[in-house]
Amino acid sequence: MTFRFDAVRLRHVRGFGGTGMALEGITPGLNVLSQPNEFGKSTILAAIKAALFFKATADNKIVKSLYGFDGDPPEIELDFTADGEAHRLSKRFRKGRGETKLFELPSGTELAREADAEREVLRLLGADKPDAGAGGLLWVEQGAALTDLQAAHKTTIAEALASEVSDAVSSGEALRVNQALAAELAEFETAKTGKPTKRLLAALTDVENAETALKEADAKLAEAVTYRSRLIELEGKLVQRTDTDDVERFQAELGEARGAVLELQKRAQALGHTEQDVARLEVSKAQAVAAHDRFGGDLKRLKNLNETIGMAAENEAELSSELGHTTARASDLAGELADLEERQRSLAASLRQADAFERYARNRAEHELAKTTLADVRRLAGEKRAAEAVTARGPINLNELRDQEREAIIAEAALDAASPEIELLTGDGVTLDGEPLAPETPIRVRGEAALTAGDVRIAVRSTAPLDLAERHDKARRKLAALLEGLGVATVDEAQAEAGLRQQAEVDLKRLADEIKRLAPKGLSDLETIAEAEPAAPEGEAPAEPREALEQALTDLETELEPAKARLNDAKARVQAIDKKLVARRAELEITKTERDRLAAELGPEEAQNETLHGLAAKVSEQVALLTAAEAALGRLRGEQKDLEAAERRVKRLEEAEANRAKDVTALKVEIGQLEGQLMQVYQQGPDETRDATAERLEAVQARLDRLEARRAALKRLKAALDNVQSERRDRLLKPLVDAAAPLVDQVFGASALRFGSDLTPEKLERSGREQALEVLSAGAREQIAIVTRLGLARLFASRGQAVPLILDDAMIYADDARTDRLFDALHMVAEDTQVIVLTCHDRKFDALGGHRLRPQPFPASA
Amino acid sequence: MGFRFLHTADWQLGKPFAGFEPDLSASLRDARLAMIDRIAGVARDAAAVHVLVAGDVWDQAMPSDRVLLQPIDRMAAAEDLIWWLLPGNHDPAGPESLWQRLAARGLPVNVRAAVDAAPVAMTEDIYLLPAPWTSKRPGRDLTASFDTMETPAGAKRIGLAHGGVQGFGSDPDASFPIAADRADLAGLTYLALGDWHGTKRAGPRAWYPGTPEPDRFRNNDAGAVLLVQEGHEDEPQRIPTQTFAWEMHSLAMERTLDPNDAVAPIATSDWPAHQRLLQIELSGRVSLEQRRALDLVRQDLSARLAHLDWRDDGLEIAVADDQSLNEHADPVIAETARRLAAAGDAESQAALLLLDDLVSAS
Repeated sequence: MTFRFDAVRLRHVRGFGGTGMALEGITPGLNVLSQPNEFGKSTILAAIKAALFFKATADNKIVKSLYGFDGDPPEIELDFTADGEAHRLSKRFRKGRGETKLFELPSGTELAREADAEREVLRLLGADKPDAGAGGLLWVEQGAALTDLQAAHKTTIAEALASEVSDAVSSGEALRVNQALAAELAEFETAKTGKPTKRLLAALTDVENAETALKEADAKLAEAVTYRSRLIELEGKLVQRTDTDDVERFQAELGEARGAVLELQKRAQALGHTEQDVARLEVSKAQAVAAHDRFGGDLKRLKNLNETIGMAAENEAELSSELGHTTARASDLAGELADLEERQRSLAASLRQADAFERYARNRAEHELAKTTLADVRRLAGEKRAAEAVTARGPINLNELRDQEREAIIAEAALDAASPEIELLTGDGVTLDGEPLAPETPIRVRGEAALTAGDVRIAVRSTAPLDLAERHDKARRKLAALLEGLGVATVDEAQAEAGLRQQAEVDLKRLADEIKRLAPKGLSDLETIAEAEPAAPEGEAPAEPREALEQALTDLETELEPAKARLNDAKARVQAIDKKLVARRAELEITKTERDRLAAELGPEEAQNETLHGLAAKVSEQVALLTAAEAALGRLRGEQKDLEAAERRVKRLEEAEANRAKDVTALKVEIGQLEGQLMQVYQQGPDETRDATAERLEAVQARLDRLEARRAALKRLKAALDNVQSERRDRLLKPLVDAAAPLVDQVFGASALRFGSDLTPEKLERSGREQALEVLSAGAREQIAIVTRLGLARLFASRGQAVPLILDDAMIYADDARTDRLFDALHMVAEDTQVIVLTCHDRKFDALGGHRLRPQPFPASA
Repeated sequence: MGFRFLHTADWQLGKPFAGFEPDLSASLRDARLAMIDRIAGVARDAAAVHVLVAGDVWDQAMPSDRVLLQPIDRMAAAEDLIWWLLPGNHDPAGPESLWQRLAARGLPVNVRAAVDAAPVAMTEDIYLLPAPWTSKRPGRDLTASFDTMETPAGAKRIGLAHGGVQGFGSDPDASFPIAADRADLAGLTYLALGDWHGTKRAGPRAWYPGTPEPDRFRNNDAGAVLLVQEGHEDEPQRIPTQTFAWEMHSLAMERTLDPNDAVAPIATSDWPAHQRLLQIELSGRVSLEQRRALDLVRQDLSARLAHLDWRDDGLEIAVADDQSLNEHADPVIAETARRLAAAGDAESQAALLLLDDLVSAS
């Protein structure tokens, strides 16, 4: 089946009123209708669809939308050629009363009308609804989602492609299985990330919850076991604490201890009185001892004072004597020091005089040397100037000289070669230009000469050309000028002169270095030294050598410091002795005053011993009394310790009793609490809970394992199915891919279009990189859609099913370059397929070319 | 008619059965409790006054009050009987044990806790020698004390103990099994044992009655009590008491075997289906068609039975030579099936079975 439009005519269709609009002469190739917005291009498309696919009596939404703004029912005429036969479909829509007629062209014979005509049209078109069949596939409407093929489109494509692969016709079972798989898999995991969901998630959650519950149950059970263990332990302790034998034994021990304390407390009352006696006797004894010790001490002190006074007087005399000796010694040392200092001054003066004479001798020698050196330098300066004069004559270009000399020789040789040489071999009387020729003296004739021998006169001419002679002269002159410039006569002299100048250069450097070495600070400095005569010092030079003077001075200075130190020591010693002497005298006075006072207090010397004996007897008496009282107290205190031990024992026993009672109470309380806790635990049954939870975990884990296995099987099967389907799809779509390939290349450059399982374009592969359509620009997506339709159009055309491709305001996103390439693609497709482009972009579509459609009024009688 | 008594053990009251569906779990727990009434009925029918429970009366050492007391009330209600309860390894006696909890509350007069290892008179001339567990690991043969327990001259001695017997028992690794000839050594007319959940003779005049209500899949003749008759102590009468049947079956499939025929002997039973718990272990090699048929059988059984544990991991599906998928009309299905069959791994086989399910469902 091939199908194309030849004309479209509308009247009373939306804005096309009674005048209507007609597109005549639509060509089989590329047609372009370029009209501004609101012209009604989309109306034309809708009208064509309605005419082809809707009954004239239809009253659906689309048909209603076609009614003219004047309210009249729409009239549509389509001239078309199907399988080479021309037809006209004339349709006037009206609810329940519409008219459809199908004519044969050009005869105008009516072939069918109404339902028969409509069926025939659908037959010719090969489809029964707008989106079905090849004819329905190629609409590209304004603003339509171009990449979104309708289900009917896909079926059409699949049907069109199915014949390519013998086994490609699927019963749909695989799709159904795959859908069922996907649906069930969706119960296990999310499609995108594969994360567990729904059933699997629920099972995982169940396992997780069961594990948590098991842990909690284990913890509860462990807690119960702990409670039990603790309770058993406490009950054991309580039994121990409440053992009747132990309690009775303990009470008897406490009674006995308390009796012992009462007895000891009675005896403790006597202790207080004895303690008071001891205290009083200790005071009395202390007082007696103090009186005795004080008197005895005073006696000893008086004796010491007398001894001290005696020794102090002796000491004072010794100090006075030492002071005298030390003062004299200091005076002697001062004299010695003065002598040494005088000798030091004298030696220093001699040393300075020796230095002056030594410096004078050094200056003198330097002066003499400078004079000699100055003479040498001046001589060298003279030589240097001579050398400078030679070097000032400048360098000699020996090469030039030699070249010029060679040129002169060559010129002369050439000239000689051309000039005859006349030599008298024997005889005489032969002249050349009047000059007689001598034997063995050949003469070269330059130019012309007359050779006369007797009467014989012979003209001799040189064969040398004139310029050779000039060359020779020129060379000779130039060489002579160069030699004259150098002031020499020959080249050899010039070479000798050049040697002289080179030697002068060498000498110049050597002389400059030598002068620099002899007078590094310059000639004027040397002249100053040479011309200034050094002055001789005044006085006589010391008789002793300088080294002896220095040694003597060093020795003297070595002696000087110890002498000073000795003098200072002596002076310090004098001061110290003097100070000590003053202090001794003051102490002696104080001691004497104290001794006199103490002697007055102690009374006469003969009564002092008796008084001391009396005080000692008193002390002995008090000590005896105290010893007796302390012995009594010791005994009583011993008993007191027994009482304290007995009281401590009672206290310990009472505390033990109290502790035991407390323990028993605490144990009973804790046991009660534990029993209460255990009662609660027993109500819950931790063992049962634990076992039940473990069994539940096992069950939910088994269920999870089953679900995981099911999921794995689902995924495995889905992967296998997808794999097979993918391979099949690739085979199935090959014709479409092949048909679209040149168009894709045309529009996008070296690229390939990949189709998805739903037969829609899925990816664009460029430079080995695949890009999903959704990430491409709107323009690129639109262009891919157009290219896909173009590819389908080519595919259908190649199978003898060419159908019109109508593009309504497509390519609006394409840039200029891409638009041009799309235009080329349209032309490629239009070679086999009718293409009708509807556009409002007049200027942009100028470059498209093709046949321009011009709207005309609906003809009066078509 | 001489002295007679019922011998039972391993009631394991309070077993949660939490791995089952909640309804079945509740039914199984209820059945364990109700067996006390059934045992009482059996005792009355047999004119036996004494019921000896040889350990593991409760499943846990610390049962909840509800699990602890409800059975006691049921036993108390059977006031014409005397129940002798022995602590076992699941419910050992000792400080703060469930037995102390019962003692603290006071046991009914017809319920006797055999918590002391000392002879106690059942009648004037019949003495019970208990060997109660006082811990989870006693570390010795508790029945050894029977040998030295003194009873009046001429009195008959009945031992009551729990645990494995030398050369036989539920725990072959037990370090301190009961001596197989304990009845002879201790002069017992009968040794009432517990621990093994099926009915079993363990030695001369020594028997395990098994649990009166089975609680696991094990073909060990569980679900009964023993009626012991004086003079016939080595030939006790086994009396079924179970409500639920726990059955374990192996089913070896073959390519020629119709799944319905293969399962029919297992599926058919006099026992009420809603009280049957079945574990079926399948093996062998079947076609996809057989597998589909087995699935239908499984679904049918699962719906009818109280519980079905269908284990087909060992079942090999002969998918490679099955034409139903490999030559399916849909080329995608057929190719996918062929590839999965060729892969041969377990996951691919599972995927293939899944494909078969999905295709078959259409």
